[in-house]
Amino acid sequence: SLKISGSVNLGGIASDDDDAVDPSKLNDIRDLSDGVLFGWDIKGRSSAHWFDFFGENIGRDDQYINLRGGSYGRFKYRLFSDSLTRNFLEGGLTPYAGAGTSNHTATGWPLLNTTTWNSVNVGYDRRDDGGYFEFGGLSPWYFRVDGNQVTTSGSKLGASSHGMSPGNGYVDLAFPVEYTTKNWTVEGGYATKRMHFSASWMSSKFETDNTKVNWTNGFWSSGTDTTYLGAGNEYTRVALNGTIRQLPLNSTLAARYTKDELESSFAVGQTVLGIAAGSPSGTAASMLATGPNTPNFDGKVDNETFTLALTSTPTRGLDTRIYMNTLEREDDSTHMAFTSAPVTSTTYVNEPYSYEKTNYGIDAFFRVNKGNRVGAGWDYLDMDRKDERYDYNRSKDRTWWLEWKTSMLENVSARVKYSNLDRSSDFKLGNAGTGPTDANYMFRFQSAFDAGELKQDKWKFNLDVTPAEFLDVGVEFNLKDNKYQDVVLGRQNDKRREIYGSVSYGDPSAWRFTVFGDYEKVEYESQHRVVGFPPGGNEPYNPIQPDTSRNYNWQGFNEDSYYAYGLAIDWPASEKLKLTASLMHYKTDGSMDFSTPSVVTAIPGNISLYDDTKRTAINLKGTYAFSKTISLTAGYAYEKFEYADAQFDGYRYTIPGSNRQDSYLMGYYKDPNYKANIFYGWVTWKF
Amino acid sequence: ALSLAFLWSAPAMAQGTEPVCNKCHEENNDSIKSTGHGAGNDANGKACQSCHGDATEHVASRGKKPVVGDKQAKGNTGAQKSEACMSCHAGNRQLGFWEAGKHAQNDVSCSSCHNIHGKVKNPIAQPYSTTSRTIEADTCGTCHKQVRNATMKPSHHPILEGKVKCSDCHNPHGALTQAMVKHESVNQQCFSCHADKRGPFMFGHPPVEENCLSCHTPHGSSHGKLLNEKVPNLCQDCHVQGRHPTAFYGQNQAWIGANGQPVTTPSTRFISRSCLNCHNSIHGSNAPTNRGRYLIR
Repeated sequence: SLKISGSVNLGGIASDDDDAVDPSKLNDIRDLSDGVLFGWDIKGRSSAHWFDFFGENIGRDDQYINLRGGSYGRFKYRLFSDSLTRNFLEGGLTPYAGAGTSNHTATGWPLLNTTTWNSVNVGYDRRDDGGYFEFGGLSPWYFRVDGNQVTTSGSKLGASSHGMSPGNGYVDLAFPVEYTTKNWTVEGGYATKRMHFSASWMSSKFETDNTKVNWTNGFWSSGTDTTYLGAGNEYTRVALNGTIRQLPLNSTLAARYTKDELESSFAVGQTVLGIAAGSPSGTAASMLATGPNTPNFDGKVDNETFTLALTSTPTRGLDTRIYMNTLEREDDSTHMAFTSAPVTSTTYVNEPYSYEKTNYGIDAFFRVNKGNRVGAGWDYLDMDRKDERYDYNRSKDRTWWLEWKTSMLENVSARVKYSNLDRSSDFKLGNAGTGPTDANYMFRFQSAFDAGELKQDKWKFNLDVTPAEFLDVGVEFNLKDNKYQDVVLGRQNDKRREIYGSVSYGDPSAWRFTVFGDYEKVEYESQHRVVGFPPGGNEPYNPIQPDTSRNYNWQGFNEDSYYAYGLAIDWPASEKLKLTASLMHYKTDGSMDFSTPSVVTAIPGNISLYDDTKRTAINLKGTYAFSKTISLTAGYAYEKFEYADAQFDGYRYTIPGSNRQDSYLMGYYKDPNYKANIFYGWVTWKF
Repeated sequence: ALSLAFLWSAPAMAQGTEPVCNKCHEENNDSIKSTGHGAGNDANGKACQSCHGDATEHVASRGKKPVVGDKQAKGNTGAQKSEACMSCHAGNRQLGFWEAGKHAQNDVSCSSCHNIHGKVKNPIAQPYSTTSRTIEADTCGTCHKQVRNATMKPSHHPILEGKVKCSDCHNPHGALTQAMVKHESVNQQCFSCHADKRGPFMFGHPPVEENCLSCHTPHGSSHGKLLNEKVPNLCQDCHVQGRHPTAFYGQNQAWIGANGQPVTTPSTRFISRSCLNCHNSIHGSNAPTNRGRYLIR
């Protein structure tokens, strides 16, 4: 017979965020609005079947419902619905009507008087409904089908330059978000202790109601400009998995092959708003033909991957793994060319991007004795960009690492690992430009940190100690140094230092606590070159030349620090009363320092407030059991968030310019600070 | 998940039979009674012995002699501890790549994460969350402290809020990919949720097409949109070819100058979302001509 047990909760939540000008940050991801809290947690068990049925925040923006169950040895299933809310801006302003839709309209430009503007909120709700069914009644054969649909509705932040240059001002926009993504996976396989084979097919279809947003461009004759959003797409994948165990040398061979295809097709824009190239000053903007070589764009990207891993124990205490991974991306999208002279005198072509990654390596671990284990490994990654990326063609990463893990001291375990990466790259722009008076010459000195030559040192240290019963102490320390090689312009190096510590005590029959403290520091150093307009001088595009007041190099030093600490306590004050408390505080502290040559009169001004935040969160909760079936939970949470940043402090909604080169902002992150009191509670009935 | 996996292969057994182990280990027996493990138990403690070893002498000596071959014994390696679980669960579909995965390689055992007897966990310091569910990251974070830390940062995936689980992206039971991500590459993993970013776009941005992690960090960041570095500096680290991308943007280009006074005309390339004020379609654009090429429409 089916035994059912569980609980039902009913209560409420009330929050006070009166101090918040824009409470979007407080209400992001979670629903703190005043209202009812209702949920349940029900379990059913019999000798043949089981189910878990859980629900919380019913009727709220972060509602979650989950039903799992099955029949032992025959099938299992899951059905779920998971809602999420995102809030980016509450109480913003915009000169447009229709913000958040595909048509932003406004008349009477310039519109610098914000008292005539409309209010706007930006955010969306996302709901994921789905489930799976897995049948194993013919074990070792099994069959499984997964499906879900994600619907997203609302708006997200957007913006656009007024003209082709940011010097003409820009406008904040609220782009519509009306998405539906339908995913299906069907899998069948054969799984035993000795071997596992499976084949699966996956389909993911993304649909959007809006592929573009029309908006009134106050700079360009109040004409209708267009920003394009991502179009619908369809992704399909076939995957084959295989594992064979109990091979010689206690080996396991595992392999996976996948082939996927991503497609997105749409009609190409035939006109754009703008001023025809070469037009005399004062010419009004109009719709200009774009002159595409074909009216439709058919995007198509195929990926093919193959992975193989052989793990073995060749001799007692020695564990090895040999592996290889390949990924080939083939971009067969339409090659577009826009040749219309009215728009620009240049032909603009797109660059479908294909590449191939080949990775292989070996890891080995040797247990020296019961308390000590050493490991070493080597990894090689070849990234072949098939000459389709403009700056780098091929990169080769060679990594080796060493590790020692020990537990030879009683109640102490420690691990130290060092890894070294050396990346060599084929730079394609070494002969760019005709000479140092040609702007393209500067390409010779540029680098991209994601693909350029690099030497990396990385250390990792972990220590876990149990000095007394129920007491655990843990420390983790990470150090990473990236040195980008032969870089004149671009990121030259970055460093990362991290330390995390925690102490926890947990007597199951009494009280428990956890204390943690974290610290991180990241530094980036870079060099850049300003070239005046017109440049002047002998070799303006040569960064090796001495600086002049028009053409010079400057250096940037960006630093981010992060501190966090916290304390959590669980205290069963009595058999009936359980109390919990949590305190967490973090602080982020960023800065940017500049170094410019003395011949330069313009001063950037070092930035001391750069994504500086503080968050304090306290949560106190108590549960009192009136009986075995009825209990009351009540809680109070306090949160405070402070933000200071050079890009937002002193925020204004408009930046007036001449000739309608004004900028119109919406208020995003103008004032995200909040201080909130949250009260919550519920009665639980157990059965 | 592992305990669920057990249910898959557990034989249908009559419930209600108390195992002999219950006489001394009542709490442990209670903790598995209503699970698949308990469903497979019998009066001799069949399920208990399948994990803890032969208890014949242990029972006969009334606990004076230890259980023989207890794979969960302190000091055993991860692989030894996992052996007990794998003796039943190795045929589960999600464990197909266990041996090749990082966890098995790094001496992590099933019991490192799965609490078969439901031992009370130590509390975790974190902000108020509207979910009462157990957060998976609390378990993963006991080892992955850097990740646990990242989930609390100002910009983070909704992990602590219970809307994203570690196992949504990673397969802790083993995968052949780096960092055991579930899909074939980082990008395919990210695009599995962020379907609006997957394109293919008419005009792409090569670093985006190669690796989302060139610009983003997945677990949490001090900077908005999970970015590795503040914009414009992140963009400027690659875009060094002159004109406005290479100009400096300091306090004197902000709303308030270094002298503390409002700046009449702050740089639209720096304030608010900086580069994204104009280059809004940073993941790729379907706009024609130079509007798409420069990712501005």
